[in-house]
Amino acid sequence: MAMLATTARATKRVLIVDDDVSIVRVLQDALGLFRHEHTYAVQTAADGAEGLAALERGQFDLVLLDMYMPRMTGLELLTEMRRRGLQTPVLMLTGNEDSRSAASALASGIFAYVPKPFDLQQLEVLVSLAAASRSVSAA
Amino acid sequence: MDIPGARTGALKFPGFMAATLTDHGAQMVEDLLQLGIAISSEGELAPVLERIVTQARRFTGAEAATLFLREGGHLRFAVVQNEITNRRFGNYDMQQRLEVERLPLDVPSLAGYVANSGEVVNVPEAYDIPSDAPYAFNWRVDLTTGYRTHSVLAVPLRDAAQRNLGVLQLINAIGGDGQPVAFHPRLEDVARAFAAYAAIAVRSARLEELSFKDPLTDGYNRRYLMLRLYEEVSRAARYQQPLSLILLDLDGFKSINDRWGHGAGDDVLKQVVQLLASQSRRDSVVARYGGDEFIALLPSTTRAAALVYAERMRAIIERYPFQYGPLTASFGVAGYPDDPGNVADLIKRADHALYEAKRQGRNLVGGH
Repeated sequence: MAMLATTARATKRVLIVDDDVSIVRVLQDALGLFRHEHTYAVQTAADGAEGLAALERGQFDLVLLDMYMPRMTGLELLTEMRRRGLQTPVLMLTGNEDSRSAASALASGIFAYVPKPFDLQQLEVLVSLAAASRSVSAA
Repeated sequence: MDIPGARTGALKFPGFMAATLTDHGAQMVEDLLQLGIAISSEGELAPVLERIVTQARRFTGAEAATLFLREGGHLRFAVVQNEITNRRFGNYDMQQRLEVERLPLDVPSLAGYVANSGEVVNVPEAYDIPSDAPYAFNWRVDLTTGYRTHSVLAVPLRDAAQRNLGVLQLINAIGGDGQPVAFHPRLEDVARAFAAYAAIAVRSARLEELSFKDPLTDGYNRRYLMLRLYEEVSRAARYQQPLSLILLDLDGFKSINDRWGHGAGDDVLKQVVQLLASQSRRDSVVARYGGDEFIALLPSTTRAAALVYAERMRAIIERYPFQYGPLTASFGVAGYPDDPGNVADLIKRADHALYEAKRQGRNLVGGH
């Protein structure tokens, strides 16, 4: 029987950077449930500095980045990433008052911003598009 | 597809089969469409699964069916439809009997084999499976129920990532003479279509369970609020930082629903959440607590500061040009460390303060 299972499913490496442990946990669980052509290997970081260190150490296909974090904000991390030439696609997770800064994040080249609380079905689509975006442009 | 059991014995197929696959094809498409709509719009998983199993039985002529969901190393009986045993024991009693019964995946059974392998199993006679078949029938369930299984068609609930979430097991295809016959091999695809629907419903429900979003207001739901509240209260105690909780209840909300309908009421709830969120700090959590009650959780905020915030929100809501006429809200404020205790104590204090505000004439902030 011709099944999709035979097509190779690449593992996409995702980094979640958020200081809210509940959000991190849900994102991890949801990524495990997402319907996809690829599976996700998830790493997490609790703040911007930790996130930057992880990005320096390993290769990622996608970063889910919280906009508002103590010490280094998501926006600051994004700026630093780009300054260091890290072009990993970013989905910015934004909260109560962040829509204006989200717009400026869009200007600095994020894939999309996702207002919290997010709709997991929408996030599923965004994650799969964003994770595939770099391989498409690199091809 | 090579199914050893399906090749043995004289196969008889139900008389309505030809009709099912031709004349009734359009009806089946229609029913599948309806199921699709139900899956995407109905919140509760159990009734959707019941409906899927009922339709699957109808289109395969199965007398009985079970839908198993995979949970860890077991298969749970999520849906059991069997009118014969229901008549004997009653539906409730039947469900009770099977609820405690879980099918361990490491014990040989048809459903277990399907769940592990992802293959379709179609056997004409469960008690006559060749010993060289890769699967075996577990007659323990028959023993529990007193029902006699003959033909079985079991298909996996596969999601798009090719994970097996469970098994749809159709039991005893009934022929024209009312006797059990084998399931026609062409019914395998029919069963798989229904199982695919069930897989979608299960996955959606699991995503729904994970969600932090209140579907009515698009704000945070109670589940997220409670998780955060427990975290923030223990953090506040650990670092000796203040934390406040504001409980808010709309005054006379019921009259909006009564006068303008529930759609209007929902619009108002949504607007209130947006108002509160837009006026709150980034680290505040605004959530619907239930009905027309909301909670704002304000980390690093003293009760005195929270009282000021609540008073500001009270005035904003009072002046806001709601589409269905003016609206006011009553507030109850509690804060750590002024109101010491755990999460439950804090909510109780805020609730009591809210009650006082309501009692003293509404459109007020309680908790001073």
